[in-house]
Amino acid sequence: MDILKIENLSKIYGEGENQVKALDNVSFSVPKGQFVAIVGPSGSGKSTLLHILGGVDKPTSGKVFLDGQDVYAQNEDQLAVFRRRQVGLVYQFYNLIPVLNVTENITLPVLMDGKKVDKTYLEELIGMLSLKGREKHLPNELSGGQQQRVSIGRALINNPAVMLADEPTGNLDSKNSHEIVELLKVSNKKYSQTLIVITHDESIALQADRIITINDGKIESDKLLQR
Amino acid sequence: MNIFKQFTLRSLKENKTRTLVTIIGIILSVSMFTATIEAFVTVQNYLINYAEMYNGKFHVGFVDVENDDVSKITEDERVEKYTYFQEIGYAEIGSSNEYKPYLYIAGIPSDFTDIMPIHLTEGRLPENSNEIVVSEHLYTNSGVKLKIGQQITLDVGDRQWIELVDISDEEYEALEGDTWAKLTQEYPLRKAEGEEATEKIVNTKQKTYTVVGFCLRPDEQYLEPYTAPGYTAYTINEAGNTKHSNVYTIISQPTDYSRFNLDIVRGIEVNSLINHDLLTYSLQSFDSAFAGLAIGLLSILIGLIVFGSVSLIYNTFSISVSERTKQFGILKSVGATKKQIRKSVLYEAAVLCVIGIPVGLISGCLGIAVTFRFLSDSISTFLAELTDLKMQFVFSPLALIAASMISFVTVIISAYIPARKAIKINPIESVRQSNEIKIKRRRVKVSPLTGKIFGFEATLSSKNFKRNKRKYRTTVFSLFVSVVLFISASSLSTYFTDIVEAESQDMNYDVLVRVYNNDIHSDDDGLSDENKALINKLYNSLNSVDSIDEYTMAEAMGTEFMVDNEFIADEYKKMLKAVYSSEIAESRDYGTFVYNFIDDAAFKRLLEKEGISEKGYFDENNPNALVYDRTTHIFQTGEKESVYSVPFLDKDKFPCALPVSDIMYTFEKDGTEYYSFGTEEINGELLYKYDIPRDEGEDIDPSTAIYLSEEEAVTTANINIGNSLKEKPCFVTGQVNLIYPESLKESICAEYELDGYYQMRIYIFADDHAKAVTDIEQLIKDIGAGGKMSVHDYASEIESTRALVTIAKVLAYGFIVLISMIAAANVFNTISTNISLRRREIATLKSVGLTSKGMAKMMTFESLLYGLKSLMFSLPVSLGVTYLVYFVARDSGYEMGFYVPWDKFIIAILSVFIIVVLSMVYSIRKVNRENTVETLRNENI
Ligand SMILES: Nc1ncnc2c1ncn2[C@@H]1O[C@H](COP(=O)(O)OP(=O)(O)OP(=O)(O)O)[C@@H](O)[C@H]1O
Ligand SMILES: [Mg+2]
Repeated sequence: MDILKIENLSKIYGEGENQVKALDNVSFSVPKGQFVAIVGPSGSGKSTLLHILGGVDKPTSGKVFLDGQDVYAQNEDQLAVFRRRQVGLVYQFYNLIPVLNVTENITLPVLMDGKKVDKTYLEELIGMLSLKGREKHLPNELSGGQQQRVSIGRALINNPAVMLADEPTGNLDSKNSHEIVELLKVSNKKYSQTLIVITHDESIALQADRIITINDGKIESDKLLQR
Repeated sequence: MNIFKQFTLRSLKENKTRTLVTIIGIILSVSMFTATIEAFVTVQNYLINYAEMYNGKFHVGFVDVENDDVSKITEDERVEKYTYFQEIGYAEIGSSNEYKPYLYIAGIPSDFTDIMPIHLTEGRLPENSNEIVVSEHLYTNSGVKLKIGQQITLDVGDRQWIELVDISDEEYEALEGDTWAKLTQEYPLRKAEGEEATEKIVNTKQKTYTVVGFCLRPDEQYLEPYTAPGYTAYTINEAGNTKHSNVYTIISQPTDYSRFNLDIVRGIEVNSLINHDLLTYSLQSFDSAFAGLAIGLLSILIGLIVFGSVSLIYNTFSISVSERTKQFGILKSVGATKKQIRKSVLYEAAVLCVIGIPVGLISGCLGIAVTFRFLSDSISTFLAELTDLKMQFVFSPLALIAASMISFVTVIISAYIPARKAIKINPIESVRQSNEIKIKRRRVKVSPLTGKIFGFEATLSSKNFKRNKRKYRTTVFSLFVSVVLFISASSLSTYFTDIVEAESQDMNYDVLVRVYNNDIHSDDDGLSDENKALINKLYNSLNSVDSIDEYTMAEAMGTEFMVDNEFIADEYKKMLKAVYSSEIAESRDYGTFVYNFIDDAAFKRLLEKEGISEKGYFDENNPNALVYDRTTHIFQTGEKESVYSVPFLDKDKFPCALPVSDIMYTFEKDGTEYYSFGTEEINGELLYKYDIPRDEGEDIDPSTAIYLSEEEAVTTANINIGNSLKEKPCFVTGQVNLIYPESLKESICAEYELDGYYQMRIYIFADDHAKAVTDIEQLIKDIGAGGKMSVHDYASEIESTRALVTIAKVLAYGFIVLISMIAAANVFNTISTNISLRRREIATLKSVGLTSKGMAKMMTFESLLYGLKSLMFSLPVSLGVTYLVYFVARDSGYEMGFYVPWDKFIIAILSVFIIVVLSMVYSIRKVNRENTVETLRNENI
């Protein structure tokens, strides 16, 4: 069963001479529980694609279906709840709230829902993210890698159906990056989460079930990895 | 606590300066609202108290109502409460005022003073119908002295026309007109000058009263008319009294007073009295020009405050929100709904209000309470007569609620509008803040000259300015608002104080003594020899009064002359044109000339004061006249009153021999007296018509009429005019005042054949004017002129108008200071946040090697841009608002020149640059203190 279905997605920035086709008629679908790696040169449209999948940007044309639901047919409020519960998004630039501390940043989607935070899961998550002892720190007191891990924690806290990560290991050393990928994979297996990761790191890409290569806004290749 | 609330509170804490400035902005505007509304309520309350105390609490009163008709008023369903006084009768009291010979006994209900005023100066109110309270002026005006506890027995009866006393029915039938009228207090004593009265008291009954108290003279307008022949004495009304009454009503719907009044007046045919002051002050009637002006100016004032506060608070929020656009984007991308973000912005607004509003209310109340405390003495002297009425600060919860509501709504709106914009854009755009930096290539072209003249830094800041138009627009807009606010607030204040000063300019002596003329109704007719002698007698004995510092007697004779067009002032012609929309049709126009004679010593003092040499002024054969020529003309067109203060003669022609002419009023030919009947054009020649006397409205009869040519009918003369006086002398009364020394009076009167009206007045200067008034009144009685002269204490009026000017100035300047503070806070706020928003840019520039000198250069250039841009728009708009203020003032009937407030423009221009530079320096220092890398890092989170 396909959890994610993308149909003829295009995104065009600017007008006239300055026009940039970031995405050009992209279509593909992802079955539930699949781990997809998206690779491609810089400026090819990877982040744009991920943002549209995550419901934070709007496509110029085309459709995104999540669990059979047309994402951009929803109204603003439904979209907000969608972002809160269905997807977890890890930005290339971490986008934390500077006035909130680590715990608060991680639990933001739960708190926003007015729900109680599952303390044990939170502790487990913080442990997995190696952020123990940093719970009360503000983002500007953290290193780049730590900030990135906080934003991963924030994406995972609600156990979303789809996890979208934009170069989640871009700022990490190989040991740390390995741990993060493990973390994502565990969550992917344990909750049969669908995982889509943008990466420039071939070793990460090779751990995926499928590699989609994007070039100039188009899908250049789409390979399933057999193992 | 909700995560959004936490997020909001932390953001507020994080941006301490901005939060503080916003709170200060809220405090300032709340306190200004509070102060304005409280001041309004306090003054209104005072004026209402004053009106109630002085005029009474009634809305509409009815005069001389027949006993049978009283119930038609009191039973009208619109009447909520009423009171009355009923005539018991008149009694001879042995008065020395020949026009006021009676005591008028008025019966009142025991609760009369619940509605109408009786101001006891001594004793108590009557408790039964054998006790009376007597007006004080019975003694001061008529010389009849009574004591408390004294019993007086009076023959109390009705006033009756002599013709109606003991006449037969046939004779009664033959009588006409006025004679039918019932003689009440509304009718002055039936008595012509020097003759016996044609009325007497009839149907008398003997009554004995005990005097239990004295009161101030009852109000002339509402209780005892100035011309009433009886001094009022109040007693408790007798049962079974069937005479007419004055009925005073309080109605349940004061706004409908006019309808009610009309219904009653038409229904029972009586005259009515309307308590206009009370109705105006309680905002039930807007008849007077002053009410219109007050309300017009108050509206502009509140408008300015609202505008100032909205733009300050709006700016703060718009900056705070756009700064947090990225954060809103993040929140939205992890699933915050629009509603949640909106709520968090409104929560922020609410938090600021919770701190700002109470402080604002308290400081506003305190401020205005202190101001009124400081002003209360001035205000009390302003309304001097009832000194015991102090202005009390009125704590009005309603005003406070209104002020809080207005401010709260202002804050919420200011917070909501920018938030709505931030919420609308999609999350990734706000995360990237891409809408904030919508850069279009063509826009970024900077004139190469800028770089050459001001260097690379200027190019940079100029690009910044152009790329980031929205952010800069906020600053330019706040500067714009500040300049407009400052200039319009100061011109509002200037016009306001000008008006108040203009209203109070007229008097420049302390006490005026006038002799009553023969007919009490007009004092413009010739004085009788007896009265001339009396005032001379008084004048000669004034040197014995110690409390008087200086005094002058001025005699004035008036006449009308025609003056040639070329000698008439342009301002006068303009006025005629504006009022009658016509040029002066003929080649000349009539002016009223008043010849004033003052004693030689006073004349010399006057010359000295004005720095004019005596030469020519004491020349008996060909004397020069000093001229004071400026009159206030008031024209009433419909509800609008226009006031002009203009001269009649063209001053540029002075000194000169002014040719004046006059059409002969009478003309004698062959022993017959002919009278002037105007002019007529016959065969292209203007002829002057004369005829024997005719009844009013009748035209001339060609059989007896004669026509004279100009040379025959018009007499001409020259008046030698010396200098024009700059300052208005105390005694001038007419249009063109010619002033001569007393010693030349006879020769001048002979030369100009003066026989117009004749006035003698004594002008007195005294420090202790109140004592001087008492002393002079005593002296008048001593020389046997009691009741024939009036003594006016103008000094107390001057003091009161001066007090009014002080009040006006204090309030006006207070207002300017507060508005300027709001404006400055606004500018500071926008500039400092703007700079702190550019922390990253500045840090980046520094990280690639921008020196602090270069930075200073950049900021100087930016300040210049801000200043010039904002002044470019604000100066013309301020001029417009100034004109609007002028227009409102003029529309309310105060004629005055429009002028460009250059001084305020200069202050505004200087202040703009000072505030901009100071805010820049402050913000840059703050940014500089931060570590470059820190900043870059923080901005990247
Ligand atoms: N807001 C925008 N306005 C205009 N063009 C944009 C905007 N955002 C992205 N682009 C353009 O769209 C294209 C795709 O951008 P995107 O960020 O998706 O690239 P990417 O594949 O994620 O690159 P990288 O690996 O460097 O992160 C780029 O050419 C970029 O210049
Ligand atoms: Mg990218």
